[in-house]
Amino acid sequence: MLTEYVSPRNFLFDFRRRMNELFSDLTPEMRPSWPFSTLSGVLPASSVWETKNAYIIEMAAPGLTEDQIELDLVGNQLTIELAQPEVDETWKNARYWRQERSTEAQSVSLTLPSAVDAAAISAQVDNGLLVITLPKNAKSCAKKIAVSSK
Amino acid sequence: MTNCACKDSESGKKVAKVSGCSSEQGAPVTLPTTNETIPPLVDIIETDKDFIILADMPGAGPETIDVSFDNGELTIFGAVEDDADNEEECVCVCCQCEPGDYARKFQIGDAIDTDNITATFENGVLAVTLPKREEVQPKKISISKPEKAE
Repeated sequence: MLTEYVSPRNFLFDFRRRMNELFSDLTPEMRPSWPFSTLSGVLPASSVWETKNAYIIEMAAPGLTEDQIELDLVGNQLTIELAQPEVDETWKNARYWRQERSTEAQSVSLTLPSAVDAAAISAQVDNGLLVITLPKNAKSCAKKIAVSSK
Repeated sequence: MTNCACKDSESGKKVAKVSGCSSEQGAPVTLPTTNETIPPLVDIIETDKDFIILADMPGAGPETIDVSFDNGELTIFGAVEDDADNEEECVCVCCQCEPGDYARKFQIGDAIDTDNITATFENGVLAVTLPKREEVQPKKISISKPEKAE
């Protein structure tokens, strides 16, 4: 039989993750640096980074390949769809002692800020991690302005 | 994917064979130490013949996956690849993905045939198969017709 240690860190991590999920679903726009003005759907576990030239979304997509992920761009609305994870046929009648992993397809739509160059968006998936790169428009990139003397 | 044997640790721990890793066969490996690890989400499934542990480790490098069994404890580990070559400064706008490597332990009971534990890693999902001992697997008992007394 399989039993599992429930370490204090395990419990705290689960608690913190569930609280993050709760607040990320309710108030993503309230985050001080949140770049996407509208959100519908539930954002899968993701990290969003901002560099000088781009926004980068790292999204967990374990078990999925590129043909199981769809990114659709209509105007400035980006829709990300993750397919339902496949289950081995031989496990259909198996007993689940523990089930923590996602069993459903996920979809989220983001409204991109005008700073993003929508035509240059790229995405790749590797080892279950989807990375979407949203380059900024040239005029939105941070620039140094030289100061000259009179 | 290629099949290869995981390296035996110097302590003599049993190490499951992992398909998909690129480590050199038979070469010893030191398990990376870290103070901050994240328990990956898991499913524990029981079939007639096996227990299967599926662990989501998106972003983990296949070469870093380690599955070890020692004294009744199964430990799974995967290190998240660090984009060390990219020195561009970036700010985390929204960090739902906890930084850190994946690690989780399981206690294994006597019903498991620990000599034949195997594991595969594909698309960010680690699948560890723990076969049951022959004597605990369900068996069909045939019913024979009684002999008629003369």
